[in-house]
Amino acid sequence: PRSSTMEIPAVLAQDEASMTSRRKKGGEYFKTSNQRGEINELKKNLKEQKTEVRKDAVKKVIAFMTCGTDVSPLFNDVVQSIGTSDLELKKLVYLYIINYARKQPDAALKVVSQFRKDAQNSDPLIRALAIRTMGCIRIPKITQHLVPALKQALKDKDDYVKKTAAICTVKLYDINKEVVVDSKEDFITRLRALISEGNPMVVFNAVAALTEIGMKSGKDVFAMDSNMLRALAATLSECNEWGQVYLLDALAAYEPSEKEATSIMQRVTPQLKHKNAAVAMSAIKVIMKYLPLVESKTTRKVTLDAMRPPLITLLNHSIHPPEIQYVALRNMNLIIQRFPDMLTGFQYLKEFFCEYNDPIYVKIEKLEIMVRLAANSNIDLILTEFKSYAKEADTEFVRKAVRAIGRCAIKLPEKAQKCVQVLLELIKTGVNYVVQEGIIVIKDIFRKYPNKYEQIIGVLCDNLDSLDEPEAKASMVWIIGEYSARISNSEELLKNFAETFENEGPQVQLAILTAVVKLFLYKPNKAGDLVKEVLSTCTKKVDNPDLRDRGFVYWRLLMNPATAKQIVLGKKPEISDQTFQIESKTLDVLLANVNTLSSIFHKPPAQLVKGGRTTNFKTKDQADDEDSSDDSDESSSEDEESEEEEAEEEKPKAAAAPTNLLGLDDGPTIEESPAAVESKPTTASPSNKPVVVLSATRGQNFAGLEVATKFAKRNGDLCLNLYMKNKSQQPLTKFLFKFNANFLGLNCAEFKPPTISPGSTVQYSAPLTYEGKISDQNFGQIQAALKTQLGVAFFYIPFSDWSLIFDKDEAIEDPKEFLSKWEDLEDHKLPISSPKGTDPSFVQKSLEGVGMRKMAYRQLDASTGHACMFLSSNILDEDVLVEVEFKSGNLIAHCRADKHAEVAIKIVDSALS
Amino acid sequence: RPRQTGGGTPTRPRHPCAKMFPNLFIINSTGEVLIEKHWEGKAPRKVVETFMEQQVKKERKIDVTPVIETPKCFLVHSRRGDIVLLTAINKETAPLFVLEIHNKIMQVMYHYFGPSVSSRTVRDHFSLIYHLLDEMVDGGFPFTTDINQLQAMIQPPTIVNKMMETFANSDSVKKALPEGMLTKIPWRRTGVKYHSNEICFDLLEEINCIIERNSNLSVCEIKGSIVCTCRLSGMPDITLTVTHPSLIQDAVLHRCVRINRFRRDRVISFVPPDGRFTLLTYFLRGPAQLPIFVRPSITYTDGSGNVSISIGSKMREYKAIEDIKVVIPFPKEMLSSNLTANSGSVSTVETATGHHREVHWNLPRIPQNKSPTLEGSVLFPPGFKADYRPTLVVHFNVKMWNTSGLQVDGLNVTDVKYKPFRGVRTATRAGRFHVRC
Repeated sequence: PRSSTMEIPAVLAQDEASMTSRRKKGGEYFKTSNQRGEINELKKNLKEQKTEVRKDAVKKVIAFMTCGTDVSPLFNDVVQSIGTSDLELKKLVYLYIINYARKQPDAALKVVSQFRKDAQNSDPLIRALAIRTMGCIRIPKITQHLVPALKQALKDKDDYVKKTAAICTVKLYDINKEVVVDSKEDFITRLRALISEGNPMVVFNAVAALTEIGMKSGKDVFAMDSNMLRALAATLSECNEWGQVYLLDALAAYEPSEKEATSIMQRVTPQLKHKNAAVAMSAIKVIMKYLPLVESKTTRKVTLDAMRPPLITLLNHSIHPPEIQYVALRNMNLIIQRFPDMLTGFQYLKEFFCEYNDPIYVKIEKLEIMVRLAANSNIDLILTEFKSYAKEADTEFVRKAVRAIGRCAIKLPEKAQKCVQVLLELIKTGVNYVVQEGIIVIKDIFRKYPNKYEQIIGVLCDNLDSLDEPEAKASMVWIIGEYSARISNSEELLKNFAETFENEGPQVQLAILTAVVKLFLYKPNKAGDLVKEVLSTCTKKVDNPDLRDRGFVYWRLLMNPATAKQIVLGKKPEISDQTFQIESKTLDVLLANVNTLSSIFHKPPAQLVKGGRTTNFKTKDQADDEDSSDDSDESSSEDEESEEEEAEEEKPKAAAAPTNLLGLDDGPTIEESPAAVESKPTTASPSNKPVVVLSATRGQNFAGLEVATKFAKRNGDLCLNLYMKNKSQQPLTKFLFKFNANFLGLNCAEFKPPTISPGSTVQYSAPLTYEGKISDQNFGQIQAALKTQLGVAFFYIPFSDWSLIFDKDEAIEDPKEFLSKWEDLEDHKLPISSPKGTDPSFVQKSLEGVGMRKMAYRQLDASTGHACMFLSSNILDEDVLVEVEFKSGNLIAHCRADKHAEVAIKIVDSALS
Repeated sequence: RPRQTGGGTPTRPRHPCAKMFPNLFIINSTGEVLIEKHWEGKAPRKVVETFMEQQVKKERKIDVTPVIETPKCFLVHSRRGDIVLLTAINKETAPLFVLEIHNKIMQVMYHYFGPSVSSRTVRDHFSLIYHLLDEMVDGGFPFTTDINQLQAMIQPPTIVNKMMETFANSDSVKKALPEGMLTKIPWRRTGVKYHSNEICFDLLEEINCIIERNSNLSVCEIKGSIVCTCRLSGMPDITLTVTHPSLIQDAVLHRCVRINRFRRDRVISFVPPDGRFTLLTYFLRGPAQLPIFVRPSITYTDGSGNVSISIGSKMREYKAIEDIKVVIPFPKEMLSSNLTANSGSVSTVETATGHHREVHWNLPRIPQNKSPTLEGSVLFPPGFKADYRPTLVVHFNVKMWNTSGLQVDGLNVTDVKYKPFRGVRTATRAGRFHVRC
């Protein structure tokens, strides 16, 4: 196949050069009338007797084609040359067909007899080309021609033909599954036979084909045995890089005996050093799979030793771009959990030091690994490093570095003192976000080592005024409450916090409540008033049910102080750094899947990709596991917190369920992701309930505002009603709201909702105009962006109430006018793929339901039921004329309008199916 | 014979992992699709929008995670300059496989269009790129990715232009598959002919290091490579020996090097590809002799910082240290700087991402008679708590010298009748040379 394409570039490049030069002069080369002239001339040249002239003409046609020009009118003229004896011309014609067949397979099928003839040609290049071309004609009818030719090609004496045929078998599988896996047709047997043939190119293409078919069919078509294993291992070093990837992966899928495992690992080890990271990682995968099978300690040690330098090389920025480093780091994170001592040495640790111009995702992964490698022996080095990160300019990274120090403190009890010292040093710098992050971390340290570091509380208290993040505030309040007996002015401090109680978010409110109760139990004389005040605010003034309930529980509990002390001040379960560890069985699964998506997201394949495999772009639906890996770490740490903590953490979440807070009875909740909206776009029946388009728990970048929307008409004009609930801690005053170019050309001209104070809901009706840009993408939904102080959120608003835009009253009523308009306008046609009903009364009812007026119904042929119905309506001051054709049980919609025909026809489609 | 294993689970579910390259979008920084190609199925263009939504969330574009999970598919991307190579995958696929193909495509583009491939380049050569992609990937499987083979099939634009000038209408296409397609030496084309035969080796070293505040070398690594420029006729067989073979024992080798001979005798023996190629790359870790010292000092008092940075040569004998550039990144809050140098030029630059304001100090070379110093102050807004310790990035070039002392010991060209011209050059430059203060 390659042979054919190679001669084109010169021609192409020439043509391209001339094209660009012409474009630069400002002329749209392809749209001038010249083009038609050139096509005509080509047509003439293609019929010439002289081979050279025809050859030139075909080259030009191909150049046109690559540049995107439609050269289909020349198809018949081009293929006339296919029977030529001139090798070069033949290859050119094939190249043309290969490119053409993707678009118009039926036309390409016309010359199939020539392909079969060429599959017998004496030149192996022609034979391979014929096979490849047939594989590109992806329609079922090709099967009967391709099967015999392909069978023969798989047994061809030429390696090049065999290799091409192997790949072509995968193409055949896409066209017709049954015939490939059918044991009578023995395609699989033949592919397997190719593996023992020796030529590395043939072997690896056969392996690639078998793997791919195996994956698509879900059957183990490979069925590797020890003979094949030996053949693959022997070929390994002779293959090119991609071949090695396929072979290594095939090896990793095999279940070897111990003896086999040892010898294969020896063969695989040199590939660890390969410059291509995909090869190196595939080799690591084989070793991860085989190593547990080997009992010899020396073999294990030798292999692990051999793995170390290549792993480090994967991080080398002068060989690998950051993207590859990232994948390597995620995989390494798994490997060092299984082999924790592998990289703890100083020399290896240093490889994970972050550099200031690394992308943030590389830096964060390096931090993660450094925390994993942290040990009593190397913590000093790590702390110095983390300290310098905490002084960089990138806020997100600084926060992660501070957290990392805290995790080291919890992981290494003997060195906790040192970590705390570093944290204190950082807090003393007074840099706001360092202080806040430091306090969050120190709370955890207090949990792990109770009563050990309370002398630092003084330093923390110096920074009370600078706290403005809920988590930091809640942590500080927790610390004061826990140690209120030992902080002399604890009642004052808590009183200060309690003063702003009603303005705080639930997280801080709950923390204050618990802390005040603790204070009261420690110092009953001093805190009596405060606790009463807080409890009465909680139970009387606040409408957050969790807060209220907890208020009542404490109130009741405090009736019996002895019991209360036992419960509230009791011993809390310890926390540990183990929470970041992946559970052993899961780790086994993940390690067996090194170098896959699973190993990047640290989720077993079954959770990641539905059913382990999906084959087309439309089947996946897994919005619920869509949290990023960072989030999963955090959520797992939450799980292990004590019950008390859980109550604090979990309850607000339950309250955050988007539906009931809006005071709407179960309006459909739509996931925040655009695709989830898209999965049920127009079919949703026009409901009167607002649809939640943005939930408050939307992730780190934008959280705290919940929005539900509904399209409606006000005084005859379209508007969007927004129900906005502010779940953040701050009042929202500034709003910017924009629509992206959408299918209706809707535009939001004005958006001035009132200030939304925390916890309240505001209904605002935004007037809409039709002056926006029209885009033909995203039918049935409108992408919108909302900017507030909280950040920018993007979401999709489904639009399904078509009666809002179709105006029956403005529609043409006069049949004559209808007819004359019908003649004037261009026709748009769309067969309705799966109509819900096909009888005229259903069609009439459905379309009238969306705001159309029936004009006429005519029976064309009573015997076949061929009939048509005409309807008219008006959309945005524009007449829309619709015809629905009833033809042998199918519906075909025709639609004529100035601008909105495409939209109208899609609406008809969605109303009927 | 299936065995029960020691620690592992008895049966591991097999989850297949594809090695397919289903599609490629090349997009520019605003999300415009420059190239779109599908090998397996058709991914909707919407994936590009989804990708752009992820990018908008990040302060710096380079911070977008390379593998993104979206509800419908996974987006794998590589960023090179102002273009992004994006592939949407919808089944378990080895991400490195996709990333390495991206890498390969970029290498080929660099080879064809020069080292600065931008969205402009892609636009100008789109049909040539489509053509290359057609050759490089067939039905989702990598096909011809070797640059030499590709070049034999598809000529780079410059050569074509030259041809057009000289032989206006000559037919330059080749009649058969390029030789070497299925031979044992696929990297060299046959029938190479030169009037004057020459072979040159460049011993290049790059110093990557982090120098701590206390002048300790906390990380140091030398990346060395032997780059060969080969303009030899016929099928020459070359044997190269070096002075300290132990330095290169863990080297990454070009596929033409006979690996067993290298392991056994520490001799680099090979049939070279035609043109310029990297013969081997090696890495040396641990302390090394640095050609240059940098002593920074920054102290803060009440919103302003005093800066003093001096640099100088550490070489025992004189070597020209050239093209020195010291970059000092300050936080974006910096109001103004008043920095002067007794040698070279100083400028302040806002970084593209707006994250830092960088002070650039450029020196053509280190003068022999004085030691260059940069001094002055930087001003921050009142109340700004700056305990910010920038990491200086230093660039320089040294010719005729390398850190490791690796040298060519012997060079033999056999299997040819002519005596070629032979040359060896050495040079060292700063890779990622970071100085913390």
